[in-house]
This record gives sequence, C-alpha cells and structure tokens, in this order.
Amino acid sequence: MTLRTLLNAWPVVRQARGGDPLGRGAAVRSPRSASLTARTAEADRVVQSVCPYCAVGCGQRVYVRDERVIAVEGDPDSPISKGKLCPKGSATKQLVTGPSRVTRVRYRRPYGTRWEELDLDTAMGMIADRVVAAREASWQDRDGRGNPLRRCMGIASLGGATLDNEENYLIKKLWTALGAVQIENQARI
Amino acid sequence: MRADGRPVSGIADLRDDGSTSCGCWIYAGCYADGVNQTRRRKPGAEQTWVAPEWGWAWPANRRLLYNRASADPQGSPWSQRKAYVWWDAEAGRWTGQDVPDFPATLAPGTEAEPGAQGVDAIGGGDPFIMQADGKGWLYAPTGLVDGPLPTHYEPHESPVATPLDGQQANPARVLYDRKENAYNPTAGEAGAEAYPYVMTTYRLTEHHTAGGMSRTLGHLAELQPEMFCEVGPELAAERGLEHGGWATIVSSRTAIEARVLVTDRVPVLRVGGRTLHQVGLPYHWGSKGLVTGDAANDLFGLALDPNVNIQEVKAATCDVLAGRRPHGEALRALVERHPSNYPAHRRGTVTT
Repeated sequence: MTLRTLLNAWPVVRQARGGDPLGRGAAVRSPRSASLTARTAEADRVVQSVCPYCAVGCGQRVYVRDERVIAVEGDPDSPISKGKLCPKGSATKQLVTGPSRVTRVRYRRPYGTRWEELDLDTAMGMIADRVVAAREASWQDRDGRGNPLRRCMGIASLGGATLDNEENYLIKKLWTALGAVQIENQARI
Repeated sequence: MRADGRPVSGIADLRDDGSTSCGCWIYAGCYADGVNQTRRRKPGAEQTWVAPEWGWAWPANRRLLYNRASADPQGSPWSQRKAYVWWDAEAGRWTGQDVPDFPATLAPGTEAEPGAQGVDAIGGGDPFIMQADGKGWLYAPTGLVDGPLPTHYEPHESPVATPLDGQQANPARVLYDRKENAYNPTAGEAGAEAYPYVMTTYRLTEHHTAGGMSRTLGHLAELQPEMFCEVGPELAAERGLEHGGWATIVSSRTAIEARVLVTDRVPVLRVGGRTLHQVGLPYHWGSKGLVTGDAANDLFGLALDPNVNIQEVKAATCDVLAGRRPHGEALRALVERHPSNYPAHRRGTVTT
C-alpha cells in the first residue's frame, strides 16, 4: 500500500483534497456506506395516507413489503405538512406494528375478571344477537295516540373524535336504519 | 347519484322529485364525473397554496366556509396579500382561490327584496349565509343560553374576584352538587386561600390525549417518560419544590403527584395587586401503558359551560405541596383535611 493510498483512506484528507469541503459527499463514502440503502427502497409499493393522530391531517407515505408495513414517512407532496411529521406521526409504524396493538378480539364476560380471546366470527355473531334482541325488546311502533314512532330506544351510539367522516357517516346510517335515535359523538360543536 | 347511475357533480344537481339520491347532502359531488375526488393527491407544489386538488372537502370542495367575508362589502379583498375570494365585475360573478361560499352571481351591492325568504333574503354584502340575516353576530339575541352579548366571567374556581361587575362566574353554568365533585371555594368565599394557585392543563407534542396511542409506544414513552407539573422559580421557592423532585397537587377532588419541572415559561401574573402563580399540567398520563403516572384531569371538578356543556378543565385552583402523595385512606384524608381549618360543612356544596 502506497502512502498515497493510505492517506486517501482517511476521510479528512479526501475532504481537504477533493471537491467535497463540507464532507457530505464522496469524501465520507466507504464500502460500508456505499452498500447501504434506505429501508424505504425495499418496499413493493407505497400508499399515501393521513396521520392517525391529531386533526391536522399531515400526509404520510406508508411503505409496504409482502403486504406488511415496513416504514411510515412524511409525504412531501402534502400541501398540509410538506413532508414533515411530529414525533407522534413519526412513531406511526410502531403504532401499527408494535406489540401493544390489540389484534385479537378480547372479551370480558359479565362479572368476569379477566379477558378472554374470541375469534372474530364468534364475536360478530354475539354482537348481532345482542343488537337484534335489544332492538326487539325496545322497539316502539306507535305512541299512545297511534302516531307512528318506528324507533328503537334500547340502543345508543357514542362515537369518538378520531372517527373520520366516512366512519361517522356509516355509523349514522347503520343505527338510523335500525331505528336508534340516541346517536352521539364526543367531538363537540 | 342520478336515477341512471351517473354521479351528481354537486349539491345543485340534487332534485326532490326522486330522480336523484344522496346519503348526505354535504358530500354531493365527492364522486363527480365518476372519479373519487377524495382520493386525489396532486402534489402541493404543482397547484395553488389552497391546493384544491389535494383530496376533497365538503361541501363542494370548498376549503374555507363563509369565504365571502375575505372580501369587503364592495367585493374587493380586504388584503391584497391574502386575497382569497372576490367579485369579478366583468364576468358578473364571484371568483378566487377557493370555491366561493356565496350565491355565484349575487353582486356586492344587491339588497334583498322586502319579504324575501331563506337564501333569497341574503344581500350581496352578507357573507354568513347560514345565519338568517347573513351577518356575523356579536349581539346574539337567540341561540346562546348566556347571551346576548359576550362578557367576562372568572372561572368557576378562581383566586381572584372579578373586577368587572360583581358577577363572579357564569350564572348559567352547569354544576353538579355531589360529594365526589366537591368544588374549591372561589375568591371571596371562606377557605379560598387554601387553593392559592391557578392550574391549567396542556398537551405535549410527544403524547396524544390520555396516552392510549402514545404511552403504549416505546419511542414516545421514552421521549416523555414521566408526568410532571411545570412551575416558575418563585412558586418552587415558595413551596420548597426541587427541579426533578416530586410535588403533590391538591384540589377538593383529589391529590396527584408529579415530577417538578421548574421553567421560566410559566409567567408570574400580577392580578388585582397580588402575585398569582400558575401550575401547568400535561394531561396525558394514567395507570396503564409503558410509562404511567397520575392523571391531571382527576384534579378537576365538573363545571360545564351552558351552551355546549364542556367541562372547565383549563382553569381551576389548587395547592402544591413538596413530595409524593399518600395512597388509599391517607390520600382521602389529605384531600379532606386540606387545609385543616377548612369548614367541613362547605364541602360538596354548590356555590354561585
């Protein structure tokens, strides 16, 4: 190894001699850094989405490989956030894929003290049974003077502020179609 | 959607003769031309700053409601720099950066016909078209329980007497007279000096609401690991609080503990000739998650505003003690005996 090769292996020398005085390009490259790629480069596809936290609506790009989320980054195309995300938005991948996310139906029976796991079909069947029973038990067809009511007083719905427009729309349509009248949301005004 | 299956292009296409159907009128047009308008993602850099082709906004893809108010009565922008919607006299219609929220050809100087009904009663200078008279209201003769004019009231719990007109707090506020919801005595009432500080709650960028979506994540839990109370150096000195140490915040409801964060961001107020200290409390903590802590909202009583019934959790009174709080019966005793000379018969009573 010549002295010249030895010196050139030293990044600060390359930085001083070459055209990279700030050390942000060729001067700081090594075989290791040259072999690195962004984790987003491995994605099969990119889905444009909206941050699930607050109501600002920052744009996100969700990088997907083998139908699994591998990264969530800010979307530079978004006129709202121009590629930026706050700490919460930046942690979205952990929200989606982290171990604290509940991915199985959890059921605590009346007077139960622990959670049990149910498969989704069983849970949906139980919910449907309860809806039908509550609707039948609390159905009001007419008032005392014979005026039509056609409503169900035994079911109420309370939504939360993170529900989006489309979800609220479907919730309202579902319960109104079933005859429920107490349909509320925690988001005020 | 029209009877032949073609999507409508907007609200104006809807008919009451059964030839169209619509699940919710404000969304009419979100599928105009058979294109899912809400799915649009034209980059912000390739369109105007209003970015009308990024998604879709109800109604009519209008981004700001009542936007005719961005122009003066004659129809010119109040500010050229912020020009948003204006009257194009040559074309005889409203135009601008956004979809005008106004009858498209209603000229600025137009007076409504006497006896006109509904939208026809709106004049060319009345931007607030969903109000009966098209005006923005300072004097609100209907609709508000505590109208017609805005005024200042002190919070339900306040260390200072109102300097305004002797009406200390909103007389129409909703209170709950039950022992779980005891109120601190307010200024002028016996025992008010036992809660000499003002407390307020706020959010941190690293957490979301009560923490269900953030204290459960490793990254965010690590960035903001502990419940704290933010106080100024003067209050810290007055109560012997150490930066990084523990403090107990006490109200008539309960007492919580928090790490002490001494900063100069919490200003000392001078109100009514006295010094008033404030305590800032992030409200993101609770008993579950990767990082846990006491919940700030446990300190607050339920006193609701009379119009939309939102509880007053941004301003109340408290006391602060150095050190950690007791648990169980001892916690109850601390709250009930605070201070020891506070008259027991006032506990849990509603004051006005």
